[in-house]
Amino acid sequence: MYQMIRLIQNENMKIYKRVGTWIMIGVIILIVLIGGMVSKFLLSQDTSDNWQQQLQLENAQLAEQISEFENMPMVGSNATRPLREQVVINEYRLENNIPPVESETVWGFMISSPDFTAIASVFVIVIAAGIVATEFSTGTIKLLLIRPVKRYKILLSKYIATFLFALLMLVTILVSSFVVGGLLFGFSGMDFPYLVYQGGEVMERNMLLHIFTLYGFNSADMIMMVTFAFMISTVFRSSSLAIGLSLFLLFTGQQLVMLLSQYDWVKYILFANTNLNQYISGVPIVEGMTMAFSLTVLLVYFVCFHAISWVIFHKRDVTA
Amino acid sequence: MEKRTPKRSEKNLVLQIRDLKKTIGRTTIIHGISLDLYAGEVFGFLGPNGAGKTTTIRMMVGLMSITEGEVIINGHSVRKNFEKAIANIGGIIENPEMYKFMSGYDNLIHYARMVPVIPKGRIDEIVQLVGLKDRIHEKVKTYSLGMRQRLGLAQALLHSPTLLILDEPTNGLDPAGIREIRMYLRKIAAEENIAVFVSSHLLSEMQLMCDRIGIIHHGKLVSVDKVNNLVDKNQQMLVEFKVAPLEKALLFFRENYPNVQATIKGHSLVITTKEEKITQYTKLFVNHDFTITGISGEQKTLEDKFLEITGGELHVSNDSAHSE
Repeated sequence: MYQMIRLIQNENMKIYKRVGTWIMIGVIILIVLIGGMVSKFLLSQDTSDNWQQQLQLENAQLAEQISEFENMPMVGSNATRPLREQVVINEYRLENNIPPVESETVWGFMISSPDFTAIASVFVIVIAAGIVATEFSTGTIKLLLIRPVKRYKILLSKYIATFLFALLMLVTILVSSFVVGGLLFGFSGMDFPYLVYQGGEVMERNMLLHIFTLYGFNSADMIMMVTFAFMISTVFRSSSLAIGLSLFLLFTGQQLVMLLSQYDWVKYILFANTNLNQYISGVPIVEGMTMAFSLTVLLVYFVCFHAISWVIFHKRDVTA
Repeated sequence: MEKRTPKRSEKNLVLQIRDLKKTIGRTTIIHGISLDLYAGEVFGFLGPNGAGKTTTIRMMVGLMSITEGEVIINGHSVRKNFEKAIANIGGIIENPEMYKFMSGYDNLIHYARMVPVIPKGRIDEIVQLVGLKDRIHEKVKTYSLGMRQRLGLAQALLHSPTLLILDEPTNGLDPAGIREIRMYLRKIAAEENIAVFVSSHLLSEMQLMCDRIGIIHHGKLVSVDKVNNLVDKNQQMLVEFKVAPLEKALLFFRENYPNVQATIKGHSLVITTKEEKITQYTKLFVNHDFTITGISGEQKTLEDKFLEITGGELHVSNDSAHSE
């Protein structure tokens, strides 16, 4: 255990002694800042101060949509469910005098901030793709492996270091979006709860907890792609291949699944399961998929990626 | 790792290689190498490029899997008990590739974290030893090749190994750098009683650096001998006698010394022999009215022997292997 900590220290040293790593962190903060500016100055809606009136208007529109949908054939009750839930939540807001969290508040900005994880994913994939492959391409792997340490421990320490970097990226986004959101939109309304429709009634939840959950769901995608990049990096010892393949799949995976969505087996494809938000707000790609199912599929993929990396790394004859 | 006493008995067996084989696919690259190495000696592992030096070394340090046979270091098998065996080894495999974006000191900390316990001050001590004190906090990318080589030595010696394995340590170094490495190796072998295993394809260098030399060719260890023996055995030289009449001299010589090799080359009679015989042969020619206009000798070097062995033409007896 003590040895493991020291190995992770080593891997961290090799990540953070590189200038590139700090540029990535700087870029993430900059993107959050730009995102904040855009939503403040470009997308700023001319909202009147009377949110009650707006909600009533929205509810009227929603009711119209619902009746439209219900008159259409082939549309199940699933399609209108989110709309109806929204109506109930809006009514609750009006009754209890809880203003909605628009984008023009620190919470609103933070709720949209998990979208930045896609960019963070790119950076974490770059780190994951390089962490094993560069040791081979620079030849440092030889001096690394002639130490009294089992090979799997070295690989594990590298994966953990990558994971910690991903965590750092998420924390960077979280903190910088809080600061940027607060500075641009003010810190007022921080005591507002998050409303959720559950079991036929509206519940009040802690807003921060809700944001953490959003980050958690968005991270599933990141973790899987990072693990994938790590595997490619280990198996092919090429960081560019690992970066290229992982990014390609990161951005096209969802489309691929959409394309094949008429088949039932598509639900076993990794990318049909990485978007866990589909179970919270939205409709699953294939009917009958549940959160538990997706988590199981993700776990199986996760274990497979690791098993392949471990076996290959363990057996490899180092000729670099 | 147990604490080593500074001076151990001279005949301390450090490395045993037993019938080591490597097969990749259907090709056998290493055909059963056996070798013993003792504390305090510098062993030269010599062979032309592609003879299997690097493969053998990589199997010794666990970078490549062993197809058959054993590598035992201080009683621990590399195959069965990798961590214990490798804890006794320090090495540079080919070029001393370090993390260039980090300082030399950070690199040493990196490797120090990978071994159980390194006494406080050991890093500074080793930096002092290899003479990098002034530059150790600078990034490795600013180092010259010679400095990188010294940093490589520092990481190899950091955990006080009993066996130092260096694969082509003088590659790319200038003569001064080569000399420096040679001095270091001789010094640490003598002072710290470390067994040093050095591979090279440069014979002249090995001759100066090593106590014993093993010659590997086509994946076989064809000869293991002390450097002195190798050189002594080869006191044979080619002596050119400018003698007339030439043909008659050859026949006459063969009559008298049927077991000595003699041929005609150009306008001279070339005899393969030893230094002390020259007078005897000259006397023979002079006494029988041959005219001698010149005698010149050319000593056969270790290099000739090396080429002879690796040329594969001559059968070199293997009984000199394991000799100590």
